[in-house]
Amino acid sequence: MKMHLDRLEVARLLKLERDVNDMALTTFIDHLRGLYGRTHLVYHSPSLPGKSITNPFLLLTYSDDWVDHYKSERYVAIDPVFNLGARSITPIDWSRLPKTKPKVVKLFKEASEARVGQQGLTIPVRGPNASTWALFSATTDDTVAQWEDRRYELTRDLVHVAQFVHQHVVEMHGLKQEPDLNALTRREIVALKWSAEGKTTDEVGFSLGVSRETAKAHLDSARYKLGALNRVHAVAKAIRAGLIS
Amino acid sequence: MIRLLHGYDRSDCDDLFDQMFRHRKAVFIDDKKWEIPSTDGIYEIDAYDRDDTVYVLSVDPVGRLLGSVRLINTTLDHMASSAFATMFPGLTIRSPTIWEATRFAVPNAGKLQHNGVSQAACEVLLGMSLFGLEAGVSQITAIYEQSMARVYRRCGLKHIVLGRHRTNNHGTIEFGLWDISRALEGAIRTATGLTAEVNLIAA
Repeated sequence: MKMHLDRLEVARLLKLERDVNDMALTTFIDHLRGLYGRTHLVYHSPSLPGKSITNPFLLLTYSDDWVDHYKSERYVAIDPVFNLGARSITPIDWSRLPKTKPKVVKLFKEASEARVGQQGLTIPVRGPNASTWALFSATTDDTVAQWEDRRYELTRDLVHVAQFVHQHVVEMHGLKQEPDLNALTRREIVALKWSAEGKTTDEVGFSLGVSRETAKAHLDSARYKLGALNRVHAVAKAIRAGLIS
Repeated sequence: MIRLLHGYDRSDCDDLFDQMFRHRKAVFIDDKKWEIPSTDGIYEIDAYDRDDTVYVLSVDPVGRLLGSVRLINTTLDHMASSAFATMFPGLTIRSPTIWEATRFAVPNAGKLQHNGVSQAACEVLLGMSLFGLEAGVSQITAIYEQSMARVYRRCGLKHIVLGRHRTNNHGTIEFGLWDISRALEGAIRTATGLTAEVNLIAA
């Protein structure tokens, strides 16, 4: 099955990487929003130079009204998403959060009224150092059934998107996070070579004499190490880096 | 039942962590004689037991721990990238959607499921795949003693062996890999007889 991320055109990704700025990144997450449908996306980092918990760096596709309200109510102090996201990188489904404290109940009720979304998901990201972190959130107006149906695939894709956006925001703030090309293993480079010839995961596995699962792991790992969002993007970056020809 | 714990739950779930670290000492240091240090002579805790570490537990109705496994995201410092790097050179897989499983510990077989594997081991394996579906995990890698492969197979968990390392004292250690999917959850439930009522409970 094709992942939604495979539908991202490589030209768009390479253009974004040539000139990374707030506007280009916002346009990009707005484009992703269209790709997934019924979704708002927010990137939030309190730890970048000059930023703080009360004055975070934000990229968002919903109105500033909710952000202003959230700030004026000082919700960051009690928001369970923020509290957990600061300590872990496990994705957080908002529907699974304990909502017993009255102020937390109020926060989620108001978020719903502000049309932030019925369902929410937050992916914490970290790097390049231990003190730099961010939260990438998606909210949707999905019904419970629609959400249950797609939450796994959406979470899996957005984990990669969160990494990608974070890496570029961090770069924009002068915290360089060059992909470490030496980190690519020989098997990953060979898998990319076959992928560059248009082979599917099964075919890459066959060419390498390994299982489909193994080929998938090597390609997935290569994608991450190259800072790419999908296979075509990974191949383009590998060619540019001179890893494959 | 199956419970999910995060490293950051350590102060809130002190009792479960206490039981888990004791189990690990009993299994890895006392039984298997691994050359790893114990803490205070009663626990096995190491540098990979951090806030961002995730644990899947099998717990009985009165809160007694039956079994556990440790999961670490492969973009973070994990065992294949450091402690086991010399055993499996050239196998540094890193992806935010691939997690590594280590320290699978079930000290007493206890009640068996109809596949002949302990309920605790079955629940821990099912729990790993349920966590995977919750957290958008595409694959899990695992480092384990070869004897575990039989447990995996009996539980309906089809896995791929990426590497084998023969040791002098501890038999063969394997580096395995499997896909997370709803189909895998179904296969584990069918093989183990764990019904849909057995689900993941967060802390």
